[in-house]
Amino acid sequence: MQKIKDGFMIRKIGGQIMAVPTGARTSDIHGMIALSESGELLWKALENGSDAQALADILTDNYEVDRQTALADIEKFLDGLKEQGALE
Amino acid sequence: MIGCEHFGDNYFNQLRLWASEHEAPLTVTFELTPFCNFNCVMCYVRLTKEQAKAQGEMLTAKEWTEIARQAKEMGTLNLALTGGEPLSHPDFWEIYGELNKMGFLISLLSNGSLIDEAAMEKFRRYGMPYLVKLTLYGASNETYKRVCGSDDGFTRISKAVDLLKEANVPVKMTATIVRENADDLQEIYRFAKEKGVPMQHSISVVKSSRGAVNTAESSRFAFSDFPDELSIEDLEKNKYPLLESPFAWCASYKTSFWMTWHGYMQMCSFMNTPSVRYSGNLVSDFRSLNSLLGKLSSPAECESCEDKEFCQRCPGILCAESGHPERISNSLCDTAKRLNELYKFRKGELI
Repeated sequence: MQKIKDGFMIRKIGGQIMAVPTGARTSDIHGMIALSESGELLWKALENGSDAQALADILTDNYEVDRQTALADIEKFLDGLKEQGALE
Repeated sequence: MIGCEHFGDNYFNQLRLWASEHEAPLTVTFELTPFCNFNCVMCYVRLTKEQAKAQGEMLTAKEWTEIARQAKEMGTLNLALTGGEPLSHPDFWEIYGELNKMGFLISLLSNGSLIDEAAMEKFRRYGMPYLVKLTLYGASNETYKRVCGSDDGFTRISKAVDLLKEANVPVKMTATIVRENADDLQEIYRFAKEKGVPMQHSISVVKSSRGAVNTAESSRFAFSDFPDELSIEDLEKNKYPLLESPFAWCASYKTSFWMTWHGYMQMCSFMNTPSVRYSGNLVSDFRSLNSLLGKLSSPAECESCEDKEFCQRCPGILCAESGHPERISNSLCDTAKRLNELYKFRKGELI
């Protein structure tokens, strides 16, 4: 199970989607994380905790993508979030 | 394509383009207070209590929070807090705490003297700034005393830099160079290098157009004071052709606003006219301000001026120097004339 840390706010400005750390979260995350539209869907699922299979379901339900590709993309997405320190 | 990535320059450029096309205040500055614990000779903002009282009432923490809330709805991402010295505002931490809940990238523009261990503890609690821009006034406490009237300002800013860097807060420093601290210039850069902090100095000092009393005219340098330092390339680089809009060179136009300590929305720090009194409806106020700005033109005299390409004018600086963005300033005219003469001399057109 993977979960986004508390303390982020999703903002949408000029067609761009971004997760901005707020309050105490700014101590360990500097700046913001840019998200795509699908990234935002996954982020919202991860706010309550999710795993790769459930995330893959979200992608295959909403986009024309096969499960294998979806799982590979999700792995990259989660790696990206880990790298930026957004996951617990 | 799913994605999450750390933003880069291109990302901000896209946001700026959107802001420009939609007249959205992507970047906003809150001038929380006109008061400061320093008394710098060249400051064009700092007021005494009596001066401030004559101009108006300070916005309350509740008002600042509401303005921020509305700005966020309008698309503001970058929010800078300044003054005076913003940390000297009696409700600074209350305001700062609320703003940090809203999802801005908050920058602090400060003299650094109030950033100590207690302040850092509060930053950890309420939120670390996205960026801290510190103004350095010299490279010793003696110079700080001479420029700012502070006995230990240099010691304090040095400590502030250390604390901020220890907390991984990005820090930049600027130094305003006037006659009173010019001898410290080299040492200022050495200090910045030793601390590992980017430093940029400026000689740009304006007269106060907002009631403050400063010694700008006697303290400041002009570009043309350093003819030996200016090559033809430097002079070419700093040419400003006169274009149809006086805001052609301004990145802030229609994508930014400055809210003063007493609730006047203006385009930037220097440009106190036109301004719009905060009505409670920020969208309407911003539209009104942009409408007023759009009606401005460059001073009539500039069109036929042979030195116009060397004039460091912008509507804000004109406003600070002459009292109005459409009125020329003798000091700017003189500097432009001298720069043009220097340029011609360098090109061999003038003996």
